[in-house]
Amino acid sequence: MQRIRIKYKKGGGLVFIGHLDMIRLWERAVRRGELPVAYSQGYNPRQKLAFGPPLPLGMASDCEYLDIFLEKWASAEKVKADLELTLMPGIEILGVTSVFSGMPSISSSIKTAVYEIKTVKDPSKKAQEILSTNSIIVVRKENQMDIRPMIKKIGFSGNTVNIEVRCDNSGSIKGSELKGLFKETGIASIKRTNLF
Amino acid sequence: MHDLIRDKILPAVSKPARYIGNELNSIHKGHKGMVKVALCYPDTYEIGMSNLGLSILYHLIIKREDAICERVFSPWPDMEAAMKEHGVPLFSLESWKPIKDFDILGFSLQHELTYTNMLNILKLSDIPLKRKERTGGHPLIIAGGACTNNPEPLSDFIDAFVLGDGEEVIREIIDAYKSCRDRPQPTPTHTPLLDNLSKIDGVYVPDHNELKNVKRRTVKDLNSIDYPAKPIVPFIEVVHDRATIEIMRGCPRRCSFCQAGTVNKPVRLVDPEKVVALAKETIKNTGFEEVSLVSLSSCDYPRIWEVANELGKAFGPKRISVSLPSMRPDSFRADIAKELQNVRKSGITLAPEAGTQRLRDHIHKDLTEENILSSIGNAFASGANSVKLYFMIGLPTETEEDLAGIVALSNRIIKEGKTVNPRAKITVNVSTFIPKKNTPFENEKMISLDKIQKKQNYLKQNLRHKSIELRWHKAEMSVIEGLFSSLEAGRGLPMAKILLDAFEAGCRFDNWTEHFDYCKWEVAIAAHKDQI
Repeated sequence: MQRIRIKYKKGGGLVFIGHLDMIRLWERAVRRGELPVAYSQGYNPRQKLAFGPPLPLGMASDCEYLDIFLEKWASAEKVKADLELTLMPGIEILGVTSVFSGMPSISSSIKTAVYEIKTVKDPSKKAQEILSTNSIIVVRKENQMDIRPMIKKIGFSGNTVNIEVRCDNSGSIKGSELKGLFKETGIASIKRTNLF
Repeated sequence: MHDLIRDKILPAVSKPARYIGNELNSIHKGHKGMVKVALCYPDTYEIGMSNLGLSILYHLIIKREDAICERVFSPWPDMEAAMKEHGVPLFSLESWKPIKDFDILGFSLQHELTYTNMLNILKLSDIPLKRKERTGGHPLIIAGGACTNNPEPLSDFIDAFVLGDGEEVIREIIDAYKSCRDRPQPTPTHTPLLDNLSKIDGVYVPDHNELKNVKRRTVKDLNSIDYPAKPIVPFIEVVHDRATIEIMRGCPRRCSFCQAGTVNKPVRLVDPEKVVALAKETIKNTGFEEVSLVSLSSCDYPRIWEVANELGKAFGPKRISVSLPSMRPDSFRADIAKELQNVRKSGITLAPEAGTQRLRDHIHKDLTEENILSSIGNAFASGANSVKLYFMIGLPTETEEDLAGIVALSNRIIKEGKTVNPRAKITVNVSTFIPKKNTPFENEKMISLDKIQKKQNYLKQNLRHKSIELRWHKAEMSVIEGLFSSLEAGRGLPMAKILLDAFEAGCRFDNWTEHFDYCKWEVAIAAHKDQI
């Protein structure tokens, strides 16, 4: 089985399309592109696709990942060309590579997500305040949760904040919580710029 | 307005994808010089986008060189609130332009419980609800669909109704609109246009022609319809999230309660070759994982097994499943069932309608208990785990014995089903008989709310097998549906006034249990009953 990794950008109206709908959107694109995709065994066979960490609804991204498992070999160029013929505006394929089939999954190899937040007012004071505090408590379904340890780094210049946060199985910051951090400065736009 | 919608409104509402348009195969055309048509299904995006008629009309209008077509659906209450907060009027999915700026607003009315939503569409578009309060500067408001079998309750609000098949009529309506628009001296009202529309076969224009003189329009040859081979592919999961291919219109059966089967005459077929070709092309253009071959009674399509087999062969290796809704149990063939079910297992649906042979005979449901048992047995034996059954309560001449028959038949089905498949389950769906206009039963009585509830309770108490799930329609909803669709039930009631009152009292999304508010309807009905 061949494993093809796709890196893509998501923007435009597609920012309002959630993770599960994106999965279906890709499955249909793969079917339209007539890629020789592999199917799972079992009662309801499904295409073998594997996605990276879900992108919060309403957010654009420069770095979404997806693995497509093919049952017949196809060149990365051919896969890219077949998909580009049929993908809709809002998705831009940035790279297609054939990767080793035994590699760990996308989600297990990613530890960090970087978000770029454009604020309305000067964010420097707020950013420093976040950096200097030891805990930021948020409420998730009646449970209190400290999200400060999940924030790894904050950089800022002008009205742009680049914030690095933990993004793995042990817990991640939600989109709404990220926005909540800069509520007072107002948010003009927010997007995911990197995953690693 | 675009920025406001994108930056303030959409991020604040649930399921924003309902309002953004831009789906694969949606078409965006410039508005200049065009006849601008907005098509509306007055319910959520997910329900409206599942309607095949809307998809066909969208395609037929948008391919014209002189017209554009855009879609609009009912905004969910959170969206309505957000739009009001920001002073944004209802807008179309494609161009995000106000509905008020369109030339024609066409409603697909398939269910009476969407009427308050229809009025809300007008209100949110800042269009006067009553046709007499509108001018030539407002869009022409037209409506088609199953509800036009009984258009009178809506005749205060709708300018023109299309009775029957819409494919040809919509072309004639747009032509008529264009010729009136292009006159040297435009008129301040739609009156001359309405005069012209009233001359089109199948169009009922209140105050311009008589309903009793309007004959339903029928497309003689379905093969002449340019069906969409590139239907829109929704971003979000809709109710019927699949390629839908029509194979037949009308029904050779004569079930006395069935409006669709009675009014859609004669039975017309799409050629098998066309069905197969269209299905293949549609899958290629959409990437859907399922094709559904639709009609009122799929097994009465003469070459159904040939078509199903052909598609099964073509799609099986691609893991695309083929489904055949509206199958009658007597025609259920296990080998084909297996062929069709080889990819994605979906449920099987059968409609005995009544619990005893006597009542099935009385309503002309041409089915015996042996038919039902043997075919459902086949379905379970071929690997299906669940079967849905449809029954009606309140049918003319129904007795306690008939109700007991529903229980007995269901129990017998599950008992025999378990012998061939230990995991067998059935869902028993019970709806309430409504004596719909234009059916052989149109003059029969509809049972009262109290009786509906008593019969439902009887079934709830007696259908208690752990592998039988009982579902029923909310009794109060059936009552309201009956008032609008049945001459008998609505007799003597000023339904237009009741509708307006209920709407103004806040009724919306009446076919949604969480929104349906029977008290408001009761108040509206009582207010007008007293005046009689």
